Amino acid sequence: MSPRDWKADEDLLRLFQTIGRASLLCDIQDSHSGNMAVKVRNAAGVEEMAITATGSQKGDLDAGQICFLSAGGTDYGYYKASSETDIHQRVLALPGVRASMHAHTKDLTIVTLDDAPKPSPVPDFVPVDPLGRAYLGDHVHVDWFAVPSGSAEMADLIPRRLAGHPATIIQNHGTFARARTLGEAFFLLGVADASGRVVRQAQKLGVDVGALRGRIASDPAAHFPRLPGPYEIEDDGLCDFPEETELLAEFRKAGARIFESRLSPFHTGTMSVRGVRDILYAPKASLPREIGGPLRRLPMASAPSDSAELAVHKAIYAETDFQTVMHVWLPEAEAHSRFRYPGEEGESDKIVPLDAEGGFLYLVIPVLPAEAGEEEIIRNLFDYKIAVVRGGGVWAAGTQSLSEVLHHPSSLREICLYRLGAFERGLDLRKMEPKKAARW
Amino acid sequence: MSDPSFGIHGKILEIDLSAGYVRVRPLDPSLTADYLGGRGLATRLFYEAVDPASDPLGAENVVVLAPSPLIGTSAPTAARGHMVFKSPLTGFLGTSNSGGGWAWSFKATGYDALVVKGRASSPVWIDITPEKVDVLPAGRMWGKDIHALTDELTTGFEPAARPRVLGIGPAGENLVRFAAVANDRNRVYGRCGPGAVWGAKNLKAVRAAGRMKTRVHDKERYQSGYEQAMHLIRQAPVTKRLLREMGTAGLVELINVIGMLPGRNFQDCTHRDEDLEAVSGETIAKTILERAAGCYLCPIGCQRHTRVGGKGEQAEAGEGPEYETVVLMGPVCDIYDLEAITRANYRANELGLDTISFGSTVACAMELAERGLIPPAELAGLELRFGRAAVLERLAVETAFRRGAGALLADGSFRLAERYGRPDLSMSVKRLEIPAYDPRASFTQALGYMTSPSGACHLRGGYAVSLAFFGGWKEIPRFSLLQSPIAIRNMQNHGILQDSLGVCRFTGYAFGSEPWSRMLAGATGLDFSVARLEEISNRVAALERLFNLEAGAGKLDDALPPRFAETPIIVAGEERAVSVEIQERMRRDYYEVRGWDAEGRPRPDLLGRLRIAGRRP
Amino acid sequence: MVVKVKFFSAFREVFGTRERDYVIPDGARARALIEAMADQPERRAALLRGSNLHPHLVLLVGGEALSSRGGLEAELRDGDVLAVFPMLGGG
Repeated sequence: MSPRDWKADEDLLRLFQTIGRASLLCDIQDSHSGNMAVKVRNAAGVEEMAITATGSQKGDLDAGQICFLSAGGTDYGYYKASSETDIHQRVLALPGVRASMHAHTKDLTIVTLDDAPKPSPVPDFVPVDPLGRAYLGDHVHVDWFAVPSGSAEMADLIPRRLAGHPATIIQNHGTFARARTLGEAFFLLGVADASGRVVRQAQKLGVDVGALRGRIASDPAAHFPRLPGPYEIEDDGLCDFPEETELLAEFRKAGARIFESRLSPFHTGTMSVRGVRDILYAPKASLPREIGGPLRRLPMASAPSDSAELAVHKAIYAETDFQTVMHVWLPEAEAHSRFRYPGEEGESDKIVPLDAEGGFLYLVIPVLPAEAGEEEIIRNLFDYKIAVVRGGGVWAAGTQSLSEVLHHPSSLREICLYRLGAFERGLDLRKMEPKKAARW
Repeated sequence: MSDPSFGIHGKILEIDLSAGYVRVRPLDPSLTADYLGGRGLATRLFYEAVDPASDPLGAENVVVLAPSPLIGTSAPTAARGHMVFKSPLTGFLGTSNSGGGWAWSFKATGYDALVVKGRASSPVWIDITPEKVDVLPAGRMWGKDIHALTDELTTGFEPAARPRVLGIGPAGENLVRFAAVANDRNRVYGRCGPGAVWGAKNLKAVRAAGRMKTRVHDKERYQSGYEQAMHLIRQAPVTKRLLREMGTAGLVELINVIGMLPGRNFQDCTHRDEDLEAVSGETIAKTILERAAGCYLCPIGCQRHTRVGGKGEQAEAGEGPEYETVVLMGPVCDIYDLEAITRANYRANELGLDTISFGSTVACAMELAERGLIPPAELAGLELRFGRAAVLERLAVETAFRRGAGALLADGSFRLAERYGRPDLSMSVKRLEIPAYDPRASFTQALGYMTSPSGACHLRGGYAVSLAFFGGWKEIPRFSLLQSPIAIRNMQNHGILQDSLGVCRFTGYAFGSEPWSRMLAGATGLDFSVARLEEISNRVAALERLFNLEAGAGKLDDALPPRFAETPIIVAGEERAVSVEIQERMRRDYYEVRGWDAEGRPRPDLLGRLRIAGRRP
Repeated sequence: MVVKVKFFSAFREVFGTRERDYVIPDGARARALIEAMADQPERRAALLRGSNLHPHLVLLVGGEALSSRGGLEAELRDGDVLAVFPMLGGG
């Protein structure tokens, strides 16, 4: 590469690099796919668009692979700007939008495939999980394009779709999201892919997703009584307890594990450690190593401004001796909460481990109804240390440490994957489950 | 409510050595529900029976021993007993736990607790079978060491009917304030000086032999907890293999690397690697270890059966040393001579001395002597200074018999240091000597020593290092002021649960409360949910505190010796001390977490919630 | 840079020494050191299970648990001392 002064400054490069690497870690890209674009104001005060070069490896971007486009001229860097530059440019022109990102959200892409002769209208994607409902809405458009990559049709339709929705799906290709920050765009894509994963796994488990969508549509509030609050973009750098160096390291370690092991999509979920009068709280628990998130010190007493999730953390501490609490949106558990045993009535109220490891750690893991209150969650945490709330994520509690409480959702994910695999192979789960599990 | 006889027999055996009566009274079933057994039940029965102002070495002190509802089932390690008394070393609650099979044999005689009051006019021993209870003269046993006593009382029985003996050696008879009570020869109720309480009562031994079964109410429920527990014990590396291979002294080099291994009466934590290697678990395994073994019903097996002195005349076999013994008799005295430590350990076992308090008291004497504070004449010709391995065995014997320089040591390090005008040189909390983890290397451990009801004890106070370094997934910060109070409360509570179940601390390396909850509920048919168990632990902690307050403890007793605030050590490149301010903050927060007021008194609403009726004035 | 590794317990036999200096690239993370140490199948088996650290290991850097410094991703400095223990318990 020729030595020249690339325009991307260190902060911008780092932003693209870290989000690029994180998107690979959570498997919503292939080695070269996707692209990211943000609005930046240059030294002269002019707004420019910075966009990743076409075909660049998002995990290993260098300064030369970030291209700058502005009304005054285009600096393509060493490479050519993304083939989808036009799309991004129009998306960034939408009011309030400062970031645009495209990724190969494989699970979501798979569940929106169809084999109908084209062209034909494609049905919207309807999320059945709480994160999808909270951040993507009750439907996401899916569009078929004759040329589903960098085409004029796409440059026309996608910005129009994104004018009314945070994300839109290109059939057979992936998802575009627009946001106030690149972090938020990545967050939306993570949520979108997880939403697809819930549907995909539910389908594999034999859940009648169409019927489930019908039930949700008839009374959404009853299915998701405790949705997470709006995504915050201002607070990522906040740390209220820099002096607690050991605890900070524990938060970062657990947060990275949640993200990398896909226990909850990027910047979702919450975790806390209790102090005497206050709690240390991570409102965005899923934290890739290189990307921060807020770490707050909050009073233990409940406050009207507490989010729905924070209120549960505080209630658990008020009623128990637990020292750590974690709440994650584990797609595997959400899909499992809709499982019905063949020939049996109703959704199962427990997840029974089939594997030896899971079975010894937990005879069963309770699945509580969506309307389960704090009292019911707490009672189950006493007896099981972990509980799934249908449409409400996974709660876990520990007596000592974050790494202790982390173990529960991490085990649960494996338990769900083993069950799913056995079911896919046509095995009879009832026959494989220990008899005593039926009574615990 | 199910049949109350599941898990328990429903009977308390009470013996008054002054009045000479033996009586059996029913165990109120609500006590099992509220206090479980072991430490919880014993604390409650002790609290009811004793005057908190009583002289620990007087007739009015009361000793309570209790097995648990799980003892007599197959539950792993469930054979441990718990003893509660007023401590002659601390003047506060004496509370001590031991492995060995005596508690199992006692339970099999058909009782759930033994309460011993009064004082015999001459030495006695007690013989308990399901058929009868005898208080018999022990004149000819008086003076015997624990091994000889055990042999005398257990010979002539078929192996299957062999009774188990709990008794004291010369140290207890001579009222050494840190004398132990032992069973199965080398398993001891070591801390807080129970041996002296027995000695003061003229009680030499309690023998138990029975075959009565503990009935299990719901076998399937019990079994589900049992299977889970056994699987996790076999799977966790510490319980599966490492304790058997290395014993607890496997920790020596690790604790040194984390900067926590005390030396020279806690003056610093620096040692030469090669010195420590000479007393490490690995060296023990390679040189003196004959075999590892486990306590009754224990699948873990940390016991060290050893032999020193080769094949010659000086050869002898015995048990130990384990980690605390190695460090307190070793590096804390600047001694790195494994054979000397092991021989002194053998003497301590036979004569009935707590090795932690003994080692620390020797170190305290060494520091006093080096500083010229003990007139040489009072040392009876003994040249006492750090590093003199030759003195260890001799001092163990002399201490047990209160002879020579041992007479100075027999009342523990605090009274020794006080006698020579420097009580600050006693490394103790509430006059109980600190075990082998320097509190400056972990705030959490420091707070555990400060707030343990029995004084500085890692088993009652909470064993912070285990979670920080060995438990793997339960790592907790060492220096977090925020997390320490709750972390230590939770560890102490889990310890109360284990002591009340009659099970070993080391099961905690494999699992927490949930399998116990199922085993216990299955055994008794009672509601022992995890929430219930948590409540029981909080209840026992509050009751222990009440006793200590009534016995005169105040918040200034919940403090470390000045050395730990004033003299820093280096941990991971940083100077660390536990300043008075840090102690004050942690203590305040701990009281608050416990539901106690600023003076450390359980608040009335807490006592109400826990249904603890305070003592009537 | 040079990192000194001290072996304890059974690791002394596996590595045939009490301590050894490893030269790894400047700024390398713990993973690079572990890879350098895993130069024989037996040593690899003692250190790693799959691509993660073996759960039976206790690794301390300057008296601090490696796990709390980020495990395999922990950043090392020239002159660091890594102590390798089996997981232990007791006391």
